[in-house]
Amino acid sequence: MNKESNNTLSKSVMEKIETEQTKPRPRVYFTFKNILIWTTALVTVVLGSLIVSSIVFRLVNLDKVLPPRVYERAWQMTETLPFTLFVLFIIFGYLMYKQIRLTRSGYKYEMPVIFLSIGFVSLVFGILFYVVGVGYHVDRITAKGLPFHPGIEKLQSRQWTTSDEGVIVGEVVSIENENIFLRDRSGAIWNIPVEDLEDKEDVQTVRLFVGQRIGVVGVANTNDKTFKACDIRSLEFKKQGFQIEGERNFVEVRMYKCEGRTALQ
Amino acid sequence: MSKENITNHSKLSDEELVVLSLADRDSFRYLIERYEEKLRRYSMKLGIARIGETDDLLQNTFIKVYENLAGFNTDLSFSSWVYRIAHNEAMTMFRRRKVRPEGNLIQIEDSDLHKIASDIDVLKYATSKELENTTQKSLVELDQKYKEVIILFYFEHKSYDEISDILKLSPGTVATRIRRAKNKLKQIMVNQGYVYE
Repeated sequence: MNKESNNTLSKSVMEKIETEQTKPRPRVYFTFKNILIWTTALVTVVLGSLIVSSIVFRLVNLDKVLPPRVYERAWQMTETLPFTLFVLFIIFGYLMYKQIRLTRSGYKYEMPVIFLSIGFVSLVFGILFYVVGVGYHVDRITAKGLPFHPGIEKLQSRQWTTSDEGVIVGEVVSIENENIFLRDRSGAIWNIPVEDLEDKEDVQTVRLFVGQRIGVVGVANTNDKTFKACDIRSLEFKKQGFQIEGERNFVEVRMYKCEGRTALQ
Repeated sequence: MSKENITNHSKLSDEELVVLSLADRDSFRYLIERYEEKLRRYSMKLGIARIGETDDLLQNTFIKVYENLAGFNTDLSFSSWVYRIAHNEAMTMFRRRKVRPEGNLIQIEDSDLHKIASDIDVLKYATSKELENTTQKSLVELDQKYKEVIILFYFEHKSYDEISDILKLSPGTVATRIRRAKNKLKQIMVNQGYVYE
């Protein structure tokens, strides 16, 4: 291409710039755009981390603590996994990826590096959020508002099913000297004697109180509605002492050996 | 325009001209003149064959460059940035007109031809003319994403990092794409009986 053509193009471009009064966008426009991209990236990281904190909360509190039941019904574990949250996290992970790619040098990084970084950062912040109790609150909100995402209480009730299987879940209705009385989901009242317990103060270690949701593992006697318990676990999500907010009390009361607990006596 | 003025501007770097253009619009003319020829060749290689379309593309490219001058990222070379804008404009043009890049034959310099020929192991007894014809025809058949890296690497003599900046791909992806592009090109040539298997 000759010089005349060069001059023609530069002339036409300069004329167009002049007639259309085209001006370079101000520097502040680009600064603002950059801030917007990073803010959006940050928001997606925070949202992703909140989701992770909720996932951690749910996994920690799912009561996968009954080995025979878990192994007998391993497939049931899948229904307790927060699939909706996983899907949400994937969506936010993808949005994070897109935002990072939009930054000035985001395209220089390989996709797996970006995804691993996103996963790592979300995990670190997710665990941090969980530790300070945010995971509990996110779980409360998502359980109410997200489809296909049943509340953790519902899942616990499904797991701690019937006395026939040596497990009951219910509410403490009264605590008397050597007995705990529990109302199960059907409304039946169960007497849980603790007189054989060597150190009855153990009961206090789970800080039992009237109205508390608890799960009990043991052997049921349907004739007199007594339940010989070996484990009592609080299913409440209230902060107790140095616990993480919303954390279920994991302290167990070992009353009897759990032999034969899955059969009726 | 005085002779002294032209001489002064020609000594300035791209980045200095950018700063100057922001303060004095007329200085932008020198950036246009510096890049017009390169971008015209590049756009034609990409598949914009008609003169009028090339002019439209270049005009849009330079106006976009001017509008975004204050946002020029000094981490990049100005050349990579201008090529990126031109490339994006070309792709937008293809999309808007719902046409595929025209499969025009690319004029290949002898030195480039020998470089590409040695890289993909072309038959040694082929004449330069045969090589040129085969390479040109094979490039037309290549997918756009492979063609563009071949063009930038072999014909525009851009480094992997520069291609990465122009196409907004990671350097690793650029390397992979160039390797695959060479394999594809070789495969096309094999089908035409011009290279060793």
